[in-house]
Amino acid sequence: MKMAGRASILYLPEVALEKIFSFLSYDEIAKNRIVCKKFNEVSSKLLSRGFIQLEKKHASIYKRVKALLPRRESERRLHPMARHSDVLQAVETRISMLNMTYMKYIESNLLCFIPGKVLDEMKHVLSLVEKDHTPPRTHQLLQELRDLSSMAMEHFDEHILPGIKEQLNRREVLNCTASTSSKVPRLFYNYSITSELHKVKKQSKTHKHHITFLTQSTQKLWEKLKRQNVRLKAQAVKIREQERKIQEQTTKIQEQEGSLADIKKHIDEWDQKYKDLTSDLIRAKDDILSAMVHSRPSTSSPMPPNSPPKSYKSNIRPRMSHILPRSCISLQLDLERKRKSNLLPEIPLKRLREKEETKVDELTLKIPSFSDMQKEAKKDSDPPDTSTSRFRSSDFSSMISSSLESLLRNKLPGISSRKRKMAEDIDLKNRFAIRITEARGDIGAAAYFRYSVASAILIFRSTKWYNDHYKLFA
Amino acid sequence: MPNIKLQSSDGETFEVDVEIAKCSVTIKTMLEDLGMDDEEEEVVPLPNVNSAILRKVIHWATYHKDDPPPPEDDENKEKRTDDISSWDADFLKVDQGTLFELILAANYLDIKGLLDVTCKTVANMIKGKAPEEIRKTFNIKNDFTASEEEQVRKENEWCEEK
Repeated sequence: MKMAGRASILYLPEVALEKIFSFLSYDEIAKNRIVCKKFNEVSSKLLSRGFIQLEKKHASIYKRVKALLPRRESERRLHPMARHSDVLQAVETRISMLNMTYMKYIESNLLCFIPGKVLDEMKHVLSLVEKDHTPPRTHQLLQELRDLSSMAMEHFDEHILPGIKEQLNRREVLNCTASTSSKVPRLFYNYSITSELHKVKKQSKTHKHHITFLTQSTQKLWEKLKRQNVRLKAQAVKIREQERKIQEQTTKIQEQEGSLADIKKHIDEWDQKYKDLTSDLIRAKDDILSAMVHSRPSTSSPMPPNSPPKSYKSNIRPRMSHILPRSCISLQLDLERKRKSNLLPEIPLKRLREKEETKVDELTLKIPSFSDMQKEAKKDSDPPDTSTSRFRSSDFSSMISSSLESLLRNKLPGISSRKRKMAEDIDLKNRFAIRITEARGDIGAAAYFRYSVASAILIFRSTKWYNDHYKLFA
Repeated sequence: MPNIKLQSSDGETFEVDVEIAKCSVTIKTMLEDLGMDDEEEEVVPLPNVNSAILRKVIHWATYHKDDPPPPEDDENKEKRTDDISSWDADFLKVDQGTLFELILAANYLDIKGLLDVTCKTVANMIKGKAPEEIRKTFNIKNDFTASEEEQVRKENEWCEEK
């Protein structure tokens, strides 16, 4: 027999193949599964269907037999159908055991009802029970079925189940990974793909962990960044405030610089005024001296009655140190120091001031008259004059005046600046005294006083000059 | 006896007795449902059957026209393959292609007797043969992967005697 064209057993429809296989025993069907995939597919269906059909057949036979049996168990044993019932009961146990073993996996299309031989034996037993009115003893009849089913279940548990469980896991993986679930029954899977998928799933799990960890860390960092931003904002605000303050300070400094410039200007003005006043004073001195020089030979009185005394008013208020005598100031300073160091806390300041005032008064009151001064000057000049007493007082005074003139115009190189300062101090004291006397309304007396003081200075300086020169001469 | 014209897929017309044609449940149902008159000479097209196979089918049906109607399929009934009549056996001494086409035609025309006998013949060809022999007989290629084959082999190991 030769095959004609495309006509092959595999091109036959499944119904035809099932029809062909239905003429074979279940054992043969099971064994022919290995021929090809198509054979396996059809055979598997037939085997699984065969088991279900046998279950149904058994149920219907058992039902029929039970219906024939009496209700009482004691009567059942004596009934002719009792053996049928026993056999069917034993088969039921086997069927339920096989059901528990295989059906779960048959329903999930993982495998078929593998032991075809068991189906054949069961079919044989059932047909015997159904047809034969006197079946053999239960033990004899069911021995083969028990053996075969036990063998099949044992083998399944030991060798098939682990692989099936692995397949189940893979399928779960597939179901998890693949969004679409195929309803086409697939007993075999591409192992390489499934293993790869398994790996991918594991990797994705680890990645998931990583991602969650990274998400947490990024959240933390984000919070940190937020805090930093807040800080930065606060610092920016502070910086702006500082800048504003600096600007304010700059403006203040500028204002103060302006005010300082004003003050400097004022000081310059005051200096100028002071210089003017000094020059005025020098002029006044010159005037006084010239007046003295001109008035002495003609009049005996110190002041001419017609000429009003020149008054030099000044706005400068001299300091106390310039006014008061040095001894008084030093005393006051000592007292002050003692007071500060708590050595003499009880010393009343007021009394001291009063004393000072009285001293000032005394100072002004005890101003000696011109004649007295002359006398004193005579007294002073008398002792060195003992050897040179041939000089007369008028000649002496004229000599003094001339020497004074030359002294004022040409400053002696030997006189130090300190002495000049002393002279200025004395000038200030004089002015103070003039002011006091003026305040008293005694203008004439003031002029006189001024005159007397100036002459005293002159006497002092001339005496010194005289002494020096005298020493030189001697 | 009224006749009916059956046209094969390749256009050949076969005039057969209606009773013979009614072996085919398909044709029988068609005739009954359409209520065709015996006088009308309608041509029934059979596009799935070629002339060679149709001729064979008509031959088989003509031989078995007087057979009693085959019993309904009973799962409980033990199926035998050794009950093929000698005429049928001779009739089916054809190549596998014709045999399978006869199966297809019997399936299409729903001729249970012919289908049974052809399938039994094929089943007999399978019976008692090892898987490799079956492959050789029907020129089947083992399309299992190694793992799949191992899986099936492992499953069938349970009843192997040690």
